[in-house]
Amino acid sequence: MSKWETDWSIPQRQDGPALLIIIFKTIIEILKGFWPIAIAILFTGKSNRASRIQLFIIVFFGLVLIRSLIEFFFFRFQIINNELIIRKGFLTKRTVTLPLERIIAVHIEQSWLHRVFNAAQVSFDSAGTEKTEAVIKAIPLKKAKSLRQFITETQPEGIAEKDQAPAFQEEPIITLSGKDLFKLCISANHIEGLFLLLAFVISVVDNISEATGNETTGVLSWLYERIDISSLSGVLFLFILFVLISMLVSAIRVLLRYSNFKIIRSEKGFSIRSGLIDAKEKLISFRKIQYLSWKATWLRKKMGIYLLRFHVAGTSKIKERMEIKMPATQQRFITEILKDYHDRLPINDLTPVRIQKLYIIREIMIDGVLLSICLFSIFWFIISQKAFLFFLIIPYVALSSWLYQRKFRLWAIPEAFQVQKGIFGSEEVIMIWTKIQSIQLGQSIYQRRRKLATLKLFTAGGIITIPFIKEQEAMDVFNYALYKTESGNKNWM
Amino acid sequence: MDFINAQVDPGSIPEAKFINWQPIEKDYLKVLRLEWALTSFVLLLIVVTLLFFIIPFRDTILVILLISGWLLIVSLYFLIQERSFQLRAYAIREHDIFYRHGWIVQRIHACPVNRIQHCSADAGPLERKFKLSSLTLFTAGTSGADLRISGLRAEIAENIRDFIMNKIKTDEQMGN
Repeated sequence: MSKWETDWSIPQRQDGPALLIIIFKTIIEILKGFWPIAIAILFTGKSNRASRIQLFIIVFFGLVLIRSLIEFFFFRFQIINNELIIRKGFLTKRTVTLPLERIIAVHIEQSWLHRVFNAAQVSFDSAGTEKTEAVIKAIPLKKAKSLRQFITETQPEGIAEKDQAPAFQEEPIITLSGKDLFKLCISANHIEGLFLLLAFVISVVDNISEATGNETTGVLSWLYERIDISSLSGVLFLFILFVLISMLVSAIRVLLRYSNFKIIRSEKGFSIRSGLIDAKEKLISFRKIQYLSWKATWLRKKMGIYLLRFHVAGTSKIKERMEIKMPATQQRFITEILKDYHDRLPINDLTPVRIQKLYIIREIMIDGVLLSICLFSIFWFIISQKAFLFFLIIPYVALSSWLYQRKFRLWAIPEAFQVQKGIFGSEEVIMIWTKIQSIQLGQSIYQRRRKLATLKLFTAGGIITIPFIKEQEAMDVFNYALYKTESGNKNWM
Repeated sequence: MDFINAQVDPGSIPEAKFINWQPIEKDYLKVLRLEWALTSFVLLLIVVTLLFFIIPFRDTILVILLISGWLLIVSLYFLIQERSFQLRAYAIREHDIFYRHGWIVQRIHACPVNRIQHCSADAGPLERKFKLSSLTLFTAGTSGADLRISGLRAEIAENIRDFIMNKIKTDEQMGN
């Protein structure tokens, strides 16, 4: 026998405690989903209906537990030819094959239940495992460590450690001045701020009413007595009041979020720091950036402010944490950030790919006319003649699709491509070809007749959709993207 | 290392339209029809339950609407399934894998082999009855990026899986 205590080529089972852990987790999940019914059963007297529900719950519990047992007994894992193979399932049998070369990390975790039995859960990280359950729920802790060591030492370069915090220069490359913050305050989404304030006030009033048992409408009554809302001046006064309050709220939000904002560049990535009271820092490694986009509403575009966004690779939890929208109040900010990814394309020297005008007709027919008719038909029985208002969707869809078609451009060079789009505002995206993970070309019956197609480019940071372009152009992009992805020597991350 | 930037002749880039498509197994249509029958039956049960247990639904117009709705849904489901089955096909090239599917909206999904992280072969009870399997190729892409080919012979699914795994290992060894 080799130095390994376990021969991993022989199919292994989960440990006995895994069954208890599966049962325990199943019970928790059921309780989480059906607690109202559970409470109804506990607090209602015995009646015919309650007995039926009780019977249903018992049967349901029984079936789920049986399922857990089956899943436990039909789970095997082994390592053959440098591949981790996991076989599981009874009704639907699944075989997951994970090459050891693709494993980025092996995690060993112990809940309190695992610790009781000296067991551990082992999970395997690769770029695609979030979508697959490559998890061994419970094996003895010693065995888990042995497995991790085996996998680590089998890889030629070893498993990479988590990205270490890069060493940072002292000088930031981007900071926001007072003038920049002022521009952000003016151009913020005041309506959103107003709704947030209203929601906060209503919830506070509600809580106070509940706590005191009194109706807390004193302020509202006071206002109502003093402002004549039937007159123009009254309405105007209220309107101005709401605008001022919403602007104040937006300004406070912007200051709290973007005060002390700075970006510092290191050899391996960016550090982004901001916050007035709660200072936050986010680290982005260059290699994780899949593509970059920057967008602006109509007002912000006039003021030269864009929101720059990093689309990074990682699990959805990582993406949520790393969701970074950076205010670019000067064009040089965008240029500075793009230096480490890819410069903007020389779009004046390139011929763009454009969305065809038939896109507008399609949008009007499907999202405009069809949707309006459906909503009208449903709501006619509820709100009668007011249901005709739904037909206002048609001119809105016509306008927005016309603007979208008019603005959309795709430019490409051998290394990267750039997309410009938007309806009332604008958005630009820049992406290196080798970041593509897979490509999809779609054609509806209508598109096939008109020799049009829609392309979707999937990356680890998001999807880029290019709708309603000429079929030949779509095929050219499709073929070239595949060629660049497959022939490039550069790793995508 | 010297930087080389060779000219690429657009005509030499492999084109996706010159692909030799392999249709999926005909037995898979039987699996789909069985699933259709099962789904239709379940929907019918729901309709009957509504009509039997909920008194307001016993209105003549509502009964006609519910039954017509059920007939419409199961007929459309059947029609779309039959038509789209004819178009389902896959292709394996040296560096990528293609899958074509859909009828109302026809889609061609291509996945470069060097982007595949791992794969999974599934076989439900109906598929096992006909010795079929579904192969899913996982990439690092977001939702929708993975490629799933259903209706393969179990041994072919294994062969494709082995081909991909060998390719991954070869590429890793070559430092690609």
